[in-house]
Amino acid sequence: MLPFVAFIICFFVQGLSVMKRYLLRRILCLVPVVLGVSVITFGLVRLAPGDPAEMMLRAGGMEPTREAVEALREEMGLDDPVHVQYGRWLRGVLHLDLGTSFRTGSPVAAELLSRLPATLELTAAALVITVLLAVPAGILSALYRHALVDHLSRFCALLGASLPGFWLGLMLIYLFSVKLGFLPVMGRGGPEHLVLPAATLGLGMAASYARILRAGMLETLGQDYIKVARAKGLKEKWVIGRHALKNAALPMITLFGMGIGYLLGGTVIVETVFAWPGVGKFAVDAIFNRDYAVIQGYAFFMALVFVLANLLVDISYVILDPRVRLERAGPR
Amino acid sequence: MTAAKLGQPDPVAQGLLLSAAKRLARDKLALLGMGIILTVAALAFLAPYIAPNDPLKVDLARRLAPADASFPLGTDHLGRCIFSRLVYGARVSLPVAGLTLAVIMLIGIPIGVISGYCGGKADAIIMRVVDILLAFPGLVLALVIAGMLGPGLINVLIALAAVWWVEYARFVRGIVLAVKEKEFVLAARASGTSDLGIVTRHILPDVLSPVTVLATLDMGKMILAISGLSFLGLGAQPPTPEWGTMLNDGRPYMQVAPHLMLYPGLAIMGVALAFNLLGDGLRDALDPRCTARV
Repeated sequence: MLPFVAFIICFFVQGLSVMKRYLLRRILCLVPVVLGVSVITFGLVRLAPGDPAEMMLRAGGMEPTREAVEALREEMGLDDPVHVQYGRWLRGVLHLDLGTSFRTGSPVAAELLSRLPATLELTAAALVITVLLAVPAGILSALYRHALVDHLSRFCALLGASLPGFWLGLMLIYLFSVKLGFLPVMGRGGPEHLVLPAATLGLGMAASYARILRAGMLETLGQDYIKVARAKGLKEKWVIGRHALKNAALPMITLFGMGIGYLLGGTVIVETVFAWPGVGKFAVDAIFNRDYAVIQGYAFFMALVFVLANLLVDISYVILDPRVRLERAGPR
Repeated sequence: MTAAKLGQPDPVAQGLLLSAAKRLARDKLALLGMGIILTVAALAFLAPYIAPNDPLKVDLARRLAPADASFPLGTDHLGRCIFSRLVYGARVSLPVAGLTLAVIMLIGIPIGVISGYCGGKADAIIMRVVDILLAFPGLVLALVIAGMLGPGLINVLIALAAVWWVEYARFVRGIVLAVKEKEFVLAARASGTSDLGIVTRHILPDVLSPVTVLATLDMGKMILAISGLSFLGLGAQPPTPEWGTMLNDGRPYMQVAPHLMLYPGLAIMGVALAFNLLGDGLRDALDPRCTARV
């Protein structure tokens, strides 16, 4: 059976273009990773001290009598062997069933999906702020190397890497909401609600991205094709915009992949500070209520989003850079 | 190598270290970072002599009081001295961050060396585990592990170590893969040196300096992560004077007493910045080719 399947796959793969072959291989490589993620996520509940059923009852404000604990254990299937429990959980996951929230009584997947738009909105706004600040800062500090703007950008990068996000958020609330009254303190609503949380999330990332773009620009500006473009008499803004920035921005794409992890982690704290009704705040509330199905579902969901985001980043990298495409496809 | 075998210091290595130390001594920002770290460490060490008040003493009659001679930074919502709590807080934040980093290195470095040096199945298995752990956003997994284990600094340490060792294992593996093909390692192998000897005498010294830089930069990140988890209520528990917990305690009093949040935040940022400055300086000093700072 296996050789037959392998033959079919090989036959199928041979007929595909380099790009599609790369995509297929990349997606197939994700299968064991996602399976491993599912094992870790499933095992997380076993980290909880004591009996999960008893802890959940206590967190729910109920007296954990022996009967109540046994009934909940039965309901959660905790008396079955671990591999049976894992199999059941994985089957559920494959059917988009991440269990039921102990606190709200609703399916975890539905709860997470209903909060995802808020988190995505925040993440997208933070990315916009990152790009709007990092690109001009990166270009200017590369063009005016060792000048005031460069030193300022370096100082901001160091400061950005050292700023606790939750503190920055609280300070922004104090300044812009409490003192000046310009912006709402917390919650989700119109664009004005988005400014402070997105700035909190985006400022730290913008600072480090500006430095990375600067390094990329400096390297690119020394390349022969830039000298040729200048020798041809092209205007400086064309040299920078059309030739240098395009090439210097490539490492930024990889960084965005890594940045998504930072943003997803960062949303937990920012959503808590700003009472933003997203996935992160939902998870933090679940942690304090010992809502294990939600915690488990959140971890799996976030890993899945992260893995898929990185896959998209890889694909865009391959599309944008032909050298990578050929290198990854290997000799034909 | 002969000198090292005789138990004498290697003059080449000594010369390199000396020149790195000279480069570091010329870097004013790195020295500033080192100065801040040493000052905070001294404050933590001498806390009982420096703190003007008992950091745990509650005095509701003096709650949210502004700064004066006996309470240099004022008092918090329970009338406790903020300055004393900050000074004692350094005794929590710095050692916990250092200890977490030590645990991470103790797990990550040997695993990275085994993976890189042995190769084969061991490498394949370790790298698959690393891939799986890297599939989680770091802070998300740390948060979930800490949340499952329950609040407490030890649980935060376990959670961060469980997530962060991967970075060191992968970093060290990369260095080992490059170093193990170098002539001096091949020569040592040809001369009959055991694998353990090759690793301890020839490979580890090459691993240590980049790992030192990474660890110094990570100390800043570690302090931010620990205080972040404490801020969420998962780290140090009241009345322990931890900077992240202090910040969280001050949140409800933002309108009337913003200083409750200001000083702990400045302390966290100052120490993280100091480690970043020192890490930056160390990287430049230990790798003279890396002159263009990013």
